[in-house]
Amino acid sequence: MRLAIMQPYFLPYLGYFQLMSAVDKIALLDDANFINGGWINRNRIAVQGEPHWLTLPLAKASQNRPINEIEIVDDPMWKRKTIRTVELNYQSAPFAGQILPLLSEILREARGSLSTFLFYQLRRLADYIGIPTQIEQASMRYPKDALTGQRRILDICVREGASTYVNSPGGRSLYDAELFASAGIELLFLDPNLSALTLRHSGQEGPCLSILDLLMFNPVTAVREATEMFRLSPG
Amino acid sequence: MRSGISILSQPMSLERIFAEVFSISEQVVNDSLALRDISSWDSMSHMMLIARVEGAFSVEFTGDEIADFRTVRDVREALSRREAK
Repeated sequence: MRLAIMQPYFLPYLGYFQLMSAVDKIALLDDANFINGGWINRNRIAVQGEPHWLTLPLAKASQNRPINEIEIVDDPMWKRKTIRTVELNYQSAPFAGQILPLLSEILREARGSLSTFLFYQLRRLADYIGIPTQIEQASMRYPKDALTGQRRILDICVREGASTYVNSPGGRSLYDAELFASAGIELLFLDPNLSALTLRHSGQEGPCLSILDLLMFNPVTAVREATEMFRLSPG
Repeated sequence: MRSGISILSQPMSLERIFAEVFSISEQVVNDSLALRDISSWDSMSHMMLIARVEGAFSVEFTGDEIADFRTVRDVREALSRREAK
């Protein structure tokens, strides 16, 4: 069984779904600390030609608090404004008729636990794109104990009975392939291969805006194919 | 067709890409800046950085190169090697 472990992101970009496509199960590392200025509670779309942040309003978020201890501020005004912003900027996109209702349904659930909501929106998006990968919240299944770094990752892999752990290429320096091999786990890294990407998107950022941007302009089958444009290489 | 519509016309610098991906000021992006020292760095944002740089400069890095990117200088030098070819 191939496993990935990653912090949950809000409306993430294509690469997140490539990692998801590469594995049978992804564990959302929601007991890791929140990252200020990261991608856990925000992402970007294009507004009038410029990247524009969509940012979930949070209560008491800080780098010293785990993601699963942070709450979303239930703000109907923010939800209406966010939907309106997306609508105004993507209303002429060919798939706006499908994606705007999906986004509305997702944002309707933006309240309470940040971790629960992030899990929910990733499941909804993965289902829409057609990625059958299981998604788990790490905090619900794997006690953290005192483990940190790759020891924690290895512990989750062992508990899951994973045969392979897949990470994004930036993680190469974080992991010791021999340590994983000693536990009978193969370590692989995702190497995105986007050179043949033919999807429409909103500009120079390429496919690095939120996946919403790609879904607005392309058939979902094409986005699904793009999630499989990667190679896996050993650590 | 790589891009259906191109709405951003300003040329992209390496500094600007780093600033945007990691939400830091362009002014703090210098060659000695280590990726792991950026508080918003994680392995997924690293992957996004690579995608942004590859897209902006029309290059493709190897897996080994990507794994070896520790600083801004590493990325800049890899780009220079591409341009020299």
